[in-house]
Amino acid sequence: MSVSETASMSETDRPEDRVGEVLLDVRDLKITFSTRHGEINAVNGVSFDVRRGEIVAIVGESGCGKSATALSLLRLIPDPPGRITGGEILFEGNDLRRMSTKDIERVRGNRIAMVFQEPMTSLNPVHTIGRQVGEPLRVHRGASVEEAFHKAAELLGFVNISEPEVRMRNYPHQFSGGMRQRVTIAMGMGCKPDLIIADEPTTALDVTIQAQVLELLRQQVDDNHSALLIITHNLGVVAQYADRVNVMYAGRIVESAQAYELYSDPRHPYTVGLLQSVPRLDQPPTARLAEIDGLPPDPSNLPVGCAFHPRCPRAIDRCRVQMPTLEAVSPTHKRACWVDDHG
Amino acid sequence: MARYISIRLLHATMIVMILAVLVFVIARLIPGDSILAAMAGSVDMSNPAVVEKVRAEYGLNDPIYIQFLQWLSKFVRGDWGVSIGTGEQVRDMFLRRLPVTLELFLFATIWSVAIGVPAGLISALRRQSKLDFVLMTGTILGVSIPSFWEAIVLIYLLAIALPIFPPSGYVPFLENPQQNIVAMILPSFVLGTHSAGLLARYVRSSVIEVIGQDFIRTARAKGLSERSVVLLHALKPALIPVVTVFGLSWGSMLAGAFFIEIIFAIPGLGRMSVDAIFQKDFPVIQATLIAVSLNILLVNLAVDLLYGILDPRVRIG
Amino acid sequence: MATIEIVSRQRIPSGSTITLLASSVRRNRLASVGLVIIVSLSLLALLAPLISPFDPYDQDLYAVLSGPTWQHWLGTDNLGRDLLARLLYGARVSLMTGLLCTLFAAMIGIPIGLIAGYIGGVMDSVLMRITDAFLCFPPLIFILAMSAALGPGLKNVILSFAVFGWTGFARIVRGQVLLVRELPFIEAARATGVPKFRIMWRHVIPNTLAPIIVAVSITVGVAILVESGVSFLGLGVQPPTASWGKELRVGFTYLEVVPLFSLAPGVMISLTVLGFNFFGDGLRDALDPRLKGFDR
Repeated sequence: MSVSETASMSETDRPEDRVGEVLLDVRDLKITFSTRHGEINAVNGVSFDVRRGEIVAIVGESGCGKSATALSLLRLIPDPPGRITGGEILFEGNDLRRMSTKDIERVRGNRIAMVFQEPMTSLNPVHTIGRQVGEPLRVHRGASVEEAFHKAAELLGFVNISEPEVRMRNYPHQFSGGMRQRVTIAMGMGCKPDLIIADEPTTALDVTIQAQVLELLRQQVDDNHSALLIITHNLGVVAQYADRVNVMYAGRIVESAQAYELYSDPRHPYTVGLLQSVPRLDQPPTARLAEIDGLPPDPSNLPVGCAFHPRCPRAIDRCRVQMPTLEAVSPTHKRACWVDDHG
Repeated sequence: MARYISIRLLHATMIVMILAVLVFVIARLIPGDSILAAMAGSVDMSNPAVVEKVRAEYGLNDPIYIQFLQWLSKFVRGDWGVSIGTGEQVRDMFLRRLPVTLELFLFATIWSVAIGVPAGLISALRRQSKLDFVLMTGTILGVSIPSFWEAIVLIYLLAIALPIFPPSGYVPFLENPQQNIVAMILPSFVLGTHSAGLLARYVRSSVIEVIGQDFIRTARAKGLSERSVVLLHALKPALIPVVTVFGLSWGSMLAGAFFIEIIFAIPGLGRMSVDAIFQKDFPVIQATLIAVSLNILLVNLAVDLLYGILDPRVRIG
Repeated sequence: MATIEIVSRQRIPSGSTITLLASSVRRNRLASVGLVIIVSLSLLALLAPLISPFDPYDQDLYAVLSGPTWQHWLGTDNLGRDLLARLLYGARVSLMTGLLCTLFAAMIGIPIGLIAGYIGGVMDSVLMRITDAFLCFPPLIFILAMSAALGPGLKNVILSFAVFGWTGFARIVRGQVLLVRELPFIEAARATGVPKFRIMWRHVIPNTLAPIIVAVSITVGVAILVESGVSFLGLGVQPPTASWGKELRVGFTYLEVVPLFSLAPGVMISLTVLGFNFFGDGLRDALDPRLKGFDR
């Protein structure tokens, strides 16, 4: 068996013909963690979709459930302590939740690839880089050791690692953080996945490297007509690269819009607060940073009603008793808030 | 890597020097008249001239530090003295009995690994299950049961009640390979089960730690089956640190060998040492102490070096 | 998992170490079972003179090497002495020896560990090399050699054990001191000028108690094993004193004649050591996350 280039399930259609169609459709996802302090509903009914050719972002503070969401898509949350307790994860029509273990193993690294946030610890320290990058090809394409080797060198070249054949034989600890992250991307690219899920891909990196990594990811989407779901708390990244954005708070999506819409016309007080707290170059250097009052809520002890109301400057009585639902303010813009707010 | 090795060698050298002093002191603690009494069998003690000659021969008249240096220089050159009990060259006794003990150790190590590693691995993968509990309790049992009792029980069950194995005795390998191995099975099993327990515990905790690491999650995200994840990605990083456990258990294996050789009547170094202790044969005791401590030191050193070679993070800057 | 963020709650260690330990033991089944075993055996040993059916030195030459009978529940040895009696008195020997060995070893090892850990530097290096050197001797071999040098007998066994056994304590204490040394409140104490000794006494030592207790338990187990081993070889207790190891030797000699004789002494040794190991291990497991002082 030789390394085959075609990866899609339907081999008759070409990816470029299917740009715009829904790849991933997450409906009402619920995730619960059993901990010593009780059951925690980390994700409380999250719905979003990702279409071919686009970059979708999920934004939020630490603890809002965005990483849990990302990991659950490929069922990578260990059970115990975490379980998906509700919803559907439809990938090209098939529910990833209900798939057999064998089937989901066939999706992982092959149709959907994940890039993790800690390049330091995400790579196996006792295997060479070459072996790890070539592994998805050996698993999913039946590539031989040599074929995988050559392909891996090629992939490393794509992510701008110099002298790939030499560096293939190195070990992760011999690479810098930025290079390791690029290696992780190369690892994900091997089987030409339709969707890449990147969980905080730039958090552990320097600003200059961040840009390189994100450019690489964007290039992937453009070249292969695939899609990227990026999880981050970095609004600058979102502004520059995302097509659509979902804002998460306390396990729910509170606002969802096209990127430019979100930035120019945020409609949820939390989003407004987030955007205001980003330091801007046109502010005087001594100006105080605006901040959102209070602290992120404890997932095991969420407030009644809207989870954001204790910190919200626009909260009304209804916010304290009733959870707002996601409603559309335009065909591409949804928000979950009782207050009619314009940024 | 070079730094890693050189630090270890430096430590080892310091330890060797301390050891030499220690051993010498211990051996010289034996009261002189006991030595003389032990020699009474082979030498005519009533003649004072003979006694003087013997004392001079064993250097018992010189000041203590002279004795130490003399002993050290002789020892290093291979002159380990003459056994008081048998009159034989101590070095020759050693060389004769070494292969026997080595064979015992080799088999014991095989048992140890064959039982310990799978037990630890299964426990780790089936963490908190009944099987895990049973296996881990088993390891505590293994460490709590004295090896000489385990030997006695097994001898009774498998050699007397059911005459499957010989209850004692040793046949050199070159004489009769089959009998040699059969005779070794029981003794090496007893010796191996102790370190198997320790090994299983270390393997278990190492595997548990590795399984929780991020790169295991990455392996799963690449679509590998759980079995491949464990065998290809978890096993090697988990077993590398376990190598150092060998250094730890080597010492207790040496001690255990003393009993095993006595109970199973195996003519190895352990038996020789115990006999020497009863006879206060101090050249042999000295040589034994040095051999034992050096051996443990070298094994630990070798294990450290092996670790350095196996772990790429140490091997390559 | 690094990316799953659950709000963590920090708990500053409160309450005395004793209550902490007591609750840990109660919660951990292993430790509780171990404690029960230890206490029961200690009671047996203490009450031996009261509950023993015979005097362990009484010889009945008409009932030599008899198996279990109504008179002698566990049979008799080669001199007609009742085995049950000898085992009960043997318990006293083993437990006493175990405790004394551990006590002396701890008395030497703990200060050395404290000094090495707290003072550090060259002193630490030298002390550690010496510790490593002593560690090159397996306990048993050391004791055997010493018994050749000093003569057989329990006194020498205890002495020899202490002379090598301190290494375990030194290492553990040193490790713990190194950990505790870096804790913020120690730095604060130092910064406010509290003298070194005071810091060690009031802050460092209480925080090292937990692993020390674990080490004590395990060491007693080791000491009992060593004592029985040495007595088995004939270099420990001297006749006519009874010791489990000694009885086992008798049993071995007459294995084909009275196989059951070998059962009881071995069971006693194993059970006792098991108890100490259970207790030590269980305690260690229970204390593990708490050794760092924070609850995750």
